[in-house]
Amino acid sequence: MKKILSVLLCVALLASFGLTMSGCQSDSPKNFKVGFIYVGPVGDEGFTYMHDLARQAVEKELGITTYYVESVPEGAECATQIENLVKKGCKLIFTTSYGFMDYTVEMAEKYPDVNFMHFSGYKTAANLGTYMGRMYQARYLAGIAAGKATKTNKIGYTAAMPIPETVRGIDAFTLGVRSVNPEATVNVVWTNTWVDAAIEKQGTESLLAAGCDVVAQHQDSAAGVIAAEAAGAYSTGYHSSMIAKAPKGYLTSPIWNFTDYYRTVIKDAMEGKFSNERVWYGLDNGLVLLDQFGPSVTDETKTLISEKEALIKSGDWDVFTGPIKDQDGNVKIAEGQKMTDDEMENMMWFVEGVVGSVEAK
Amino acid sequence: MKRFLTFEKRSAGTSAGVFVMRVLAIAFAVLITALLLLAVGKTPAKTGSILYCLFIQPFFSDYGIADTFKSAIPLIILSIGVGLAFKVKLWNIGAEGQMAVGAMAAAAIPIYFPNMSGVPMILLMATVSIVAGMVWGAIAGIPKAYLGANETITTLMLNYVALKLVQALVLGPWRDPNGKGFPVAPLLPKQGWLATFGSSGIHLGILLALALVVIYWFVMSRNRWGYEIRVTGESAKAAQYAGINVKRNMVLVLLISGAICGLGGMVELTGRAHRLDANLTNGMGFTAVIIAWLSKLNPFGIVVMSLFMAGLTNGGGYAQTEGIPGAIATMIQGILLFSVLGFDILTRYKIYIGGKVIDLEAMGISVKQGVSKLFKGGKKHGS
Repeated sequence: MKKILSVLLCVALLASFGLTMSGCQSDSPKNFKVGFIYVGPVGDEGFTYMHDLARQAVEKELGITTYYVESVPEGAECATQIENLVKKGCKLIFTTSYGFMDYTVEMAEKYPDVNFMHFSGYKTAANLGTYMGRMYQARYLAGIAAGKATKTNKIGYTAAMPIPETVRGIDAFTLGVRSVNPEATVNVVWTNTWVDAAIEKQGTESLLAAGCDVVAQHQDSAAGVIAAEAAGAYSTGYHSSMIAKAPKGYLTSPIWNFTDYYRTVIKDAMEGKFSNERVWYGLDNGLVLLDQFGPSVTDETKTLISEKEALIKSGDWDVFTGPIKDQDGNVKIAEGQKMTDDEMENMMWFVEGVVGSVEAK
Repeated sequence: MKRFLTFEKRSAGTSAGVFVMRVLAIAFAVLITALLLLAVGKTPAKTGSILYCLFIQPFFSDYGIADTFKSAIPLIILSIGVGLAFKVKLWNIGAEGQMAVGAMAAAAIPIYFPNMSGVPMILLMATVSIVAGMVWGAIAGIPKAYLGANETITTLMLNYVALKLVQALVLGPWRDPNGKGFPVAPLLPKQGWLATFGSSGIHLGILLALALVVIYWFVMSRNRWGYEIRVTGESAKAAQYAGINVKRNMVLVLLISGAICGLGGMVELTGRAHRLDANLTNGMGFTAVIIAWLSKLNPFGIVVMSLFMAGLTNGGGYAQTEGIPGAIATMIQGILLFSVLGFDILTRYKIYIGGKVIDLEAMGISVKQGVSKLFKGGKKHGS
């Protein structure tokens, strides 16, 4: 009896390994393969979700093969996943978070025949470009909606980390608010996390308790929007439409649409025209946009927003055009002067009207 | 009255028994995983591909094995660190924080002395990382020995202190001035990088990790102090009667445990990450606790389990490209760990079901004998 069992176990063991040897060889060279490395899960309803929607759309449209790896931690481990995509035959790989930068550079050096696009970084190579959105433009427009909605003239803003990207967003939002409501202030709470629903909720509730009646966010989850709705306050979200989470108090959100961008880059790469430029697309390219409006947004506000949107898209004017004062009332950008991209990429000061500090608390 | 299911404690499992149990546990987990994948509608071919990505590719493909080694290096060092403490029944679950302060201290050197040449810089980085890890160990160890403060709690909480400290530094004074404001320290100068073996990316840290394994084995099996701390671990009272300074040893063990984990942080920083940020430790300190536990604090078991865990993590990512979600990959890793733990019970207990004995360990050993007979038979046939 014992012997029979042991033989059976042996067979099961060998069979299971034999089965495993047969895989991983499905190759269809006709297809162009594109890989994506995501920092979050595709089901996050936010940042990674927006990348993945675009991936799916472009895969279907162009008939290419795509691979993705989700929830890849920022750090050395991502290199092994990038390398695996290369070995799978990907000729173009998108790495979608800042923390993947050094490892994307490393892999771009190791595999010169493969093209890479890194989101939000600044390092390039012959086969490595970067892409990023001028989200501050959409945030400015969201600020107009918030400035028009507030009654207490106190607007709350939960933000992840004090880095130029978030600071620039808060500044742009505040400029939008004060363009229609010069009395209003934007009160910043740093959460020190990009995504943590519990902390985001806490931060939002503390702002509401302090008298804010509109809240905005530079966070990845919808926790703030949900908390605002529960308190009967107005809110703007981020990344993707969050209107379903707050059907009453939702104003709008600055959101992403990567589909056009991915289609263009992938098509170019297929035709051997990959460009390693540093892309920083705004409202005019549709990489960033404003979501649909909630029910409380008036036609007057909508008109104000669409006018400013048209102005930004025309290229005649951008958000950080002087005169702009800092928190202490000093003129930082003179009348008629425009901040350069480099200045914006390093922006670490708050404009007049922001209550808070660029130092994390 | 006889119960339907009874567990009877048996003498400690033999190492052959443990080995066979591990193999059986993995085979069992592979089987469950395969059934699960088939149940959710994957074709047998697809299931095979996924299993290949999870269990074969990380260990038997050229770049897969290199990456597995790279990921395993810090895990080996940290597991040796916590393993030492576990031997004395000191539950140091603060490897994550000790690693973080080690990496942090090491990162300070090139920031403040950027012009040092390679070897002195690396030696200094190693030294300060050891000191930093020791300090972090001492903060838990001294109150434990002299005030009875629960080291499980203190080492756990100190993890968060350490990680927040790193975050504050990379957001503040150590923020890379050329990094467009992102919360990371500057890239280490090239002379501060550990050398690698060819293009594999496996760095010198592997030698350090293996040296620590050998030292750990020597101390635990051939050394007087190692004997002292093992006795302390078995029974502090007995150790005290035998004239062993228990309190001193407790502090010492947590100091050394912290020092090893701190050094692990330096190795990861100089060998692989090359820049300090808040994600450097990435949960490795907690994985090390699992590894130390699964390997039963055996130094060579630690090497095998570290490679296994590293490969499994990488394999989870590989498998995603065969169309399973990341969460399922993590779940499969969970099945594996549960399976290993479950089979572990069978090495320590005989199980009676309805009066019939199920002694899987004995069966395991006979399987092993069967396999070796099979191989011997095969050889004869061939010659």
